[in-house]
Amino acid sequence: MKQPINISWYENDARIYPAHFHAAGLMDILLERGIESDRFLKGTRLFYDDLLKGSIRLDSSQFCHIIENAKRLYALPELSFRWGHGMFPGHFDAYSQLICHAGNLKQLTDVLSRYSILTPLLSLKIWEDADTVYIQWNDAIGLGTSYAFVIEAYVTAFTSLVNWYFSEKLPWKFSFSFSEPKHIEEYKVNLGDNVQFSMGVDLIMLNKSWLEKPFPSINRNLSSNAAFTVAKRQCENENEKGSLGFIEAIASVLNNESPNILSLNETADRFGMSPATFKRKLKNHGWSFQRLQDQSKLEVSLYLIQTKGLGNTELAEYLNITDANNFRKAFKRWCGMTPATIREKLVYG
Amino acid sequence: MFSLLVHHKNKGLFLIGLLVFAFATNLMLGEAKAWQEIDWVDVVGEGGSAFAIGLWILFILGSRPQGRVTNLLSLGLGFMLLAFWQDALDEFIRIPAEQWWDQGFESISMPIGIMLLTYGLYHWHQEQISINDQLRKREQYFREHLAVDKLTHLGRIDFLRSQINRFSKLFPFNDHALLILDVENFSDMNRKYSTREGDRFLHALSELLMLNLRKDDLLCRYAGDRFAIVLPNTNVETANILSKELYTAVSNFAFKLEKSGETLYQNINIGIAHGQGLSADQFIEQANTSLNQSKPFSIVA
Repeated sequence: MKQPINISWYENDARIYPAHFHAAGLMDILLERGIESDRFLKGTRLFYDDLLKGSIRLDSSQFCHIIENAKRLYALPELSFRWGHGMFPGHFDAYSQLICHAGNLKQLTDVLSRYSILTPLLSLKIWEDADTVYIQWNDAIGLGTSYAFVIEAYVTAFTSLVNWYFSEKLPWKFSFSFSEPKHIEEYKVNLGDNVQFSMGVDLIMLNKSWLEKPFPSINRNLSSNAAFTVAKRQCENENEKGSLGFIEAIASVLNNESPNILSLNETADRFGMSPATFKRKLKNHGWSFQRLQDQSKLEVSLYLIQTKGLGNTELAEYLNITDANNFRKAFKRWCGMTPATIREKLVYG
Repeated sequence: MFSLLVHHKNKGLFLIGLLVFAFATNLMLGEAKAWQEIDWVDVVGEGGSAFAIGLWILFILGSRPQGRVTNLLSLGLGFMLLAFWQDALDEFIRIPAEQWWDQGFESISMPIGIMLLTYGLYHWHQEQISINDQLRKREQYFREHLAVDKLTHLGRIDFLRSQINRFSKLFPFNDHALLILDVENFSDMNRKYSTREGDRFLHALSELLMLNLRKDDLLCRYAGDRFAIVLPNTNVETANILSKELYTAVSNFAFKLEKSGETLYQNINIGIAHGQGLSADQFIEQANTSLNQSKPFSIVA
C-alpha cells in the first residue's frame, strides 16, 4: 500500500480566491451596465461594501454563484469575452508586476502556470511537441455549468494579452472540449477563425517559434530582468505553495500514476478518505470518478500521440488495453472521435 | 423599469387627488349602504375595471416621455378611471336621488374619457409612424425587443440572419450584399482608455454608420467590435462605393474621449459578400473571409 500523497488540496468551500482580483473585474463590468451589486451577489451571503475592503476571499462555489448570476443578468454571450479582455495584466499586486515584466511568451506561461492565483478555478499545463506549444486548461475545482464561461474568459484573457504585447494577432489555434455553442460569432471575433469544438480537451496551440521571441517594448512598462526578479521574489513569499483544487489534485495523481490505472478505492486512499467520502465529495464537485479517469486517459494518450507519435497499438499496450481496436473504441468514448481524426484536427497551421 | 414615472409625478398626484376628492364628496353627501344591499358582482366588475385602468395608466406613464400624446392618453384613461371609480363607490354609498351630479359624473366622464383616449391614440399612431421612420435602418419593419443589443440598440446576430433570409426569399433573383466591418486595433483602445470609452465609441460608431446608410439598408451588431450591414437589392459595384464612403466617414470621425476630451481617430476594415439567393450563413461566412483578407483596408475588385 502506498503512502498518502504529498500534496495539499482545497475543496469548493475553501476561501481561496481574493475577491478584489478576478471576481472584481467581472463585477465591474456588471456595475458599468447598471446591474446592482445585490443582484449579482444574490445567494452568496456577500456584500459589495465588504468586497471593496480587499481582504475578503471567495470559495469556488461563491465564485461560480456570481458567475451564474452574471450570466443571467447580463444575458449576452459577450460577457465572458469582455471579462477576459480586461483580465491581464490586472491589479493583482506583485503577480501583475510579473506579467508586466515577463520578457517573452515562455516566461509568461511559466508565470501563469506557476502561480495558480493568476488563473483561479482552472489549472494550466504547458507542453510542447516538435514544433507546437500546447497551453492546456482544465477544471481545477468543479465548475459545473460555469466551466465554458470560465474557459472563454481565460482563453480570451491569455491571447488578448499576448496579442497586445506583440501588437498583432498571433496565429492561434483553439480546441475546446465542449460542443459548438450558439454564439460561435463571439469566438470568431474575439479569438479568430481557427476554433474547433467537441475535442475533449481545451487547448490553445501556437507555433513554438513564438516562445522565445522577445516582446516588443511598446505597450509595456519598461521591462527589465531586475524588475521581474524582484516581483518574482515577492510572489514566492506570498504564494500558497502547491495547493491544488480538489479536481486538479485528483487529476494530477491519476496522470502521475499513469500508465498504472488507479481504482477509486486506491485514489481515495491516497487522499486519506474512505471511498464513500471520496465519492460523495467528487459528486459534490460535479464530477464522477469514471469521468475523471477517462479524462486522464484521454489527456495522457493525446500527449503521447502528439509528442511521441505513438500509434494505437503502442498506446493500447501503454494503457493496458487488450488491443489497438479496443483502444480506438475507448478513445472514441472519451472524446467522441478516433485517434486518427483528432491527430488530423490537432495539426497546427 | 419605471424610472420614467418620475417625470409624471404631477399627473399622478393630480389623479390620486381627484380619486380621493370623489371618495370624500361621496362620503359627505351620501350614506353608507348596509352589507346585504351590496351587490358584490358589481363591486368586482366595476372595481376591477377601475383597478385595471389604473394599471394601464401606470404602464403608459412608466414607458413614455412627457408630451402631448402622453397627456392625452393619461387624461383619457384618467376620466375613464374616474367613471369606474364613481361606479364602484356607488355600490357602497347611496347618494340621495336629488343629487343630479352622481349620474352626471359617470355618464359624462366616461364619454369624455373615451373621446380623449381616441384622440390620443390617433396622435400616438402619427407619432409611431415618424418613430418607425427613424428606426427603419435599425429594424426594417420588424420589431423584436429581445433581439436588440443593449449597448448600441441595434439588432443582434439572430436578427441579422433572419433579415438576410427574408431579403433572399423576397427577391431571390436580385443581388444582395452584406458588409461586415470591424474597428482596427479596437482592443488596444479598450486597454488604453478603458472599456467604458470603448463602449462609448461603439455606440457613437453605430450612429455614424447609420447616418451614412440608405433608407432600406439595415445595420446590426455582429459581435464585439464587428458590425454587419445588409444592403438589399444592391450589386457589388454599389456595395464597393458604399463601403468606401463608410470607410471615409469613419476615418474622418473625430471621436472625443469622455475623460480628457482628447480626439481619437479610428479606422475600420470592411469585408464584402454579395450574391443571389444565398443563405444568411453563406453571406456571413463570405463577408467574414473577405474581412480577414481585407486587412488593412482594401476594396474587393
